[in-house]
Amino acid sequence: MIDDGLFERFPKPDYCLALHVLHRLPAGSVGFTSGWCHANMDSVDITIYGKGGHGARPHSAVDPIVTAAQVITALQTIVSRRIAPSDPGVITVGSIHGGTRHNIIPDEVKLQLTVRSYTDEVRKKLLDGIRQITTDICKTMRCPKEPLIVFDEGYVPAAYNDPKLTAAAVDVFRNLVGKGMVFEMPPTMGAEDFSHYARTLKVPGLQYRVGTVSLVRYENSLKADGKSLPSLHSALFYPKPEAAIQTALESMAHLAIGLLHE
Amino acid sequence: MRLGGDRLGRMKRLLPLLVAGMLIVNVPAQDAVPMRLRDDQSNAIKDWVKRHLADSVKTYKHLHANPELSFEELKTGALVADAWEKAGFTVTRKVGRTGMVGVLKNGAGPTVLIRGDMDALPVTEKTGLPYASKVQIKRPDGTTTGAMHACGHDVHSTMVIGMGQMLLDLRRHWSGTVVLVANLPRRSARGRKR
Repeated sequence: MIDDGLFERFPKPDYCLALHVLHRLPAGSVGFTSGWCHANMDSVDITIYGKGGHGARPHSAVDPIVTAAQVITALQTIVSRRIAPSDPGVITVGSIHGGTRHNIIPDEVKLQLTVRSYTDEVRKKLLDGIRQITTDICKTMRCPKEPLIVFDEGYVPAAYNDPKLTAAAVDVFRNLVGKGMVFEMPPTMGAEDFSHYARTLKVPGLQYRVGTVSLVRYENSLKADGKSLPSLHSALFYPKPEAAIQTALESMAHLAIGLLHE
Repeated sequence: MRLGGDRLGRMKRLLPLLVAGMLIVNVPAQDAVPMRLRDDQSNAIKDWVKRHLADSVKTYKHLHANPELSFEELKTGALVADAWEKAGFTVTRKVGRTGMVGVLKNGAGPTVLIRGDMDALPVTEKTGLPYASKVQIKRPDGTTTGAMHACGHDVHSTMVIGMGQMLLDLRRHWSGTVVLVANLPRRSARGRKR
């Protein structure tokens, strides 16, 4: 939308606001993080090329599945052995596809990765490492050609909540839902494309959290033997609609109307 | 009891610290975000939400049962845009394919943008809720998957729909311009995010 003139075709904002629901806060509460709050997100597509053949004659083939297995394991060493333990970084292979049947060695395997970081330096180390390790393992395993490694251009940069806007919002939230229902949260490795708004416009931006689960489920989840709450993206995630929507509407309207005056 | 001279000496030593402290305290006060909210405004908001919550929950349950994935949020976007238009916003449809923008100018003052996202995920819902999604979608590789608002963006869409109507109804309580955005992921050609 930004590429399609969101900030040229419409009035230029002085403030950008958004919210996101959260599975591990009680409905009726809000959460906030001041400053850096969401990570850089890169998406990487890798195709590993082998030489297909019969599953009973692996010596006459180049098995891209065995190669992919080695690549995946070695990629995990980028974070654990190349990045300082104090610097956050994540490499997750979220998708792997190759082959059609038990006894056929396929021609190729496709991997999809999500890569998270906060600093430019760590981001570069992670992406460079993925390219180097994947290319070199494919070479070691005698793949007939170099792997295809595509870094998605639509990378999502880390998100920043303006500390002054956040402080003003927290005052409003405490009056609205009560002090005990306003939670300060640490930064996450999640990514959020809302980061583009304040970053592109160079104006204060804030995305805060809105709780979703009933107080009973929330309190139960805090017990040592309690049931953990299904996270966002889980097939079992569900908010308590009435309380979550009430808090979403009231909190956002308080911020907007609080800012909208001469 | 300490002698006066000692106290004076201590005060002299502390003076630079005191001045520095006052300066530090003053900096945020000058730059602070001008957030001003009167009780009547706060009460008007709470009262509006009380009166419209049932409608919003109905909208939410409809959205939850009818999820759409990134770049396919055509029905969700239309629903959001129709609601804003009905509320009197100037609506521009299909900004960046499926994005929607609603603008309401209401006198002098700043411009505030409020973003809500609309997209669901390729997850097969297992909540067993009466309004659970039963939507199945065909993927580019020919397989099918369920679609679900597993990231809660149905709450966000419901929020921006409600904000349109509320800000219009409460327009005597604020002054400035509101830009509502129902958004889709930026530039990610394959529609992946988070």
